[in-house]
Amino acid sequence: MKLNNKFWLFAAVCIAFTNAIAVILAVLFWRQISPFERQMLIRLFSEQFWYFFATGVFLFAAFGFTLDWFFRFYILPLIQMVEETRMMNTVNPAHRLKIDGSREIKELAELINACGDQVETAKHIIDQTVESAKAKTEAEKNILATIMAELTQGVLICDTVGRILLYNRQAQRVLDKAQRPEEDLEAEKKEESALPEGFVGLHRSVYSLIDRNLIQYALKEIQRKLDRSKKNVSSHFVVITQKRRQLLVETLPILDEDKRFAGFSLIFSDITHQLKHTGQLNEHLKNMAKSLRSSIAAIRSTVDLMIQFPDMAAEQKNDFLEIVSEQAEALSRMLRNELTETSLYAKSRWPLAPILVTDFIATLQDEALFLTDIDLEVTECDARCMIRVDNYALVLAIRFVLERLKKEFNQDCSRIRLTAPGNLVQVDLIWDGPPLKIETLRQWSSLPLTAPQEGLPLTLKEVLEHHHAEIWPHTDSQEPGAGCLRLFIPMVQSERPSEDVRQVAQLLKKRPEFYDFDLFSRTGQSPELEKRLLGELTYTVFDTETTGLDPRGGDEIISIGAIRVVNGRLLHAETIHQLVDPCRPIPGESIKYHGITDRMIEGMPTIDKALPFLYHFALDTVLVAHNAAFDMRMLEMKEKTTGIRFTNPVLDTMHLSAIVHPAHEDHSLDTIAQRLGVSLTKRHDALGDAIATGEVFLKIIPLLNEKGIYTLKDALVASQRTYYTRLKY
Amino acid sequence: MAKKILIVDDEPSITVPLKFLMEQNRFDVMVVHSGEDALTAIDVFEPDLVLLDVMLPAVDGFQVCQRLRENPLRKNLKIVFLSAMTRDLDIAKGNTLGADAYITKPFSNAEVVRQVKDLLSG
Repeated sequence: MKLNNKFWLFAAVCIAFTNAIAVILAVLFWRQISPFERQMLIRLFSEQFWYFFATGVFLFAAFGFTLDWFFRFYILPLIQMVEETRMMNTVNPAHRLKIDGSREIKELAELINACGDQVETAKHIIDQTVESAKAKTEAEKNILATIMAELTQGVLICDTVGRILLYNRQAQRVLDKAQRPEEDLEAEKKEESALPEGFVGLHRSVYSLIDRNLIQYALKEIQRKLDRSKKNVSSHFVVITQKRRQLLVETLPILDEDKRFAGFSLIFSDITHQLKHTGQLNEHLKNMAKSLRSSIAAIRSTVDLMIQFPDMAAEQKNDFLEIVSEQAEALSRMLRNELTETSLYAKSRWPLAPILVTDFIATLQDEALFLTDIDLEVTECDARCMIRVDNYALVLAIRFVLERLKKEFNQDCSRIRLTAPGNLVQVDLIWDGPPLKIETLRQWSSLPLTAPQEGLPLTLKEVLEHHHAEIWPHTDSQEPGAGCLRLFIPMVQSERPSEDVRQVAQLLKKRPEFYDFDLFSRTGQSPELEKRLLGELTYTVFDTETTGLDPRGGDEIISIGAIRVVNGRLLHAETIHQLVDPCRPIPGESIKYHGITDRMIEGMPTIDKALPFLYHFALDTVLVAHNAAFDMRMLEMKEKTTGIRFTNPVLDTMHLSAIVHPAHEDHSLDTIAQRLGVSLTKRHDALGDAIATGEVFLKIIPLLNEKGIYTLKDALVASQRTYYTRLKY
Repeated sequence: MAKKILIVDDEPSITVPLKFLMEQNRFDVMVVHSGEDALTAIDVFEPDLVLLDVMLPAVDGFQVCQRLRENPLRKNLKIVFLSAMTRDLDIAKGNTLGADAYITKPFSNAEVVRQVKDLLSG
């Protein structure tokens, strides 16, 4: 309640109480006196009315002044003392009471300040002790952080629902789809790059970076291996980034003490260059082998004929000698120019795991649900024979072929036949209909298996080549009416178990000494966001600088600053600081505040580019701003042109300050910051203000808790009740 | 009457000695250097056996084989692949399409003659 309102309420209660007593006394007095005395009193009052009236007015004024004095010197100082003492006791121990009031109140304030000094001294001693104890732990954390940062592989550790709990810089480098818009502009000029869609950041979902299907498939495979008590439980897959980088991802489970899934880690290696190199090398070797064979075939055949028919015509003999000479020269040229030792490095790092062929077929049926009604016939095939496959990719390839068959020829695969007559495993996909042309199959081979935004935008040909496999039309003389596609996969004769086996990570009851982050005790992401505690939520604190203060009158955003708050911590590594071209001149009077000139925003992205960036940055978080009504109005004004609509819950530090400090009139950012002991370094800079707002917000949360406001819903309801919510832009 | 053999290969260094070899073994021989020419020549020359290279420009040997096997009139035509593609997988591909034999380069003349005679006498 505002102070004025409190005063008038206080005065009204006092006057009502005094009047009530006066009226009761008057009634009692009136009843006790005789009729004659009553007549006397009425006559006296009528004759001397103005004396009585003047006395009444004087008494009323004196009473009012007394009330005001009492309110200002006793009541109001006490209210302020309560608020400021609470602040001293929680977020700003250095704060001291400066209260105007009666002598007794001032003495009380001095006493509280003296207590504050003693508490602060004691706290300082405790803090020093705690700090020295924490220093050791910090040193250990730093060692871990350094090791993580120096790893050449990217590492992400996620909880069961895929929220990132830990990441290193290398993971951010290879995975971050979030190029800054300035870089995006550069990239766009070159190759029409897409807008960023995902960020690597604490508590962000890993599924915004990597196709959920790929990870879920890997986790299922790990579960299968765990069920069979296999030693090497890691699972591999390849992910193609937006920039067409090919990343080899190793997935490892993290189990709790009861061996249940507590999370998983992903280890990334960029294999783009290696795969390209390997592919070129293999192609080169293949071509060379063909040329060698052709030349040797020609020489061998010709020489044999010359030996076998020594009496051949001279002209024929000359032709043959010429062939031998030409082919010998071709062989020499090949040896001289093309045969290098690089062939030794032709082993690809595409992750192909050895698997029983029957297991592969079971996976195929398991994963491709639409295949469940198909008869599986296994003939001439040893159930123990093994193949090396990337299960996910190969199953996807088969699904792709069957889907094309259905789409283009309206043919349904009715039978899968598995044979392994030699060194090749043959998987026949059979349907009742005409066979497929080689030309059609070659057309399909150059098509991507999935949509561009999904996990594996490789072509059928690329996937098969990585497996050294081929798919081929098969003409079955025994079934003349049936069409058949035969998938050839090379068989693995024996698979020596790898010595480089990853051990299963299992959390110990006692935390390891080198690792002290409380990563796995967090609750899962609840859809009922409003019921979650304020201290648990993830926030995006943001601020905008604008050309003016009238969003409806055409003022535009010229700068956006934002920072994430996770686990009650401002993440200074996860920020946005983006200048925006407003497509209009910046008025001189606004430049005085923010210092952003027309020259500075030249070449910067326009709002339709910058806003999606903020949108993705703030995805799944609660927005926090100071005087958020203004910033949100600026964003809302751009909904139509950008198609971006911010539906996040919003908290306003101005409202929250009014909730925790109702006795104070001023809730500007400067004043709140000063009150809460937050230093403002870069005022009227979008990021600087966002950081200051973030610090203020973190100081306000414990004060809200003291007022019984614990959850997001509590904070939203309380905010709505404050005076400032009535402000509209 | 001499049996007819069509040799399909784009490299003269292969076709010249092969033609000589087949002629010495009393076969009637015709040589073409592409898949399209082979399909035309088969209708005109009516061979009993085709010695077919895989790596041909435009229409390759596999495609020629598939088209011949789809044509009921060519059911009895013998097809022998002569190829520098020698992986198990390549051979399996050829056999899958209905080839009668798959000979890998380099080959011995005797082996080629034996295979051809076996197929034509069967």
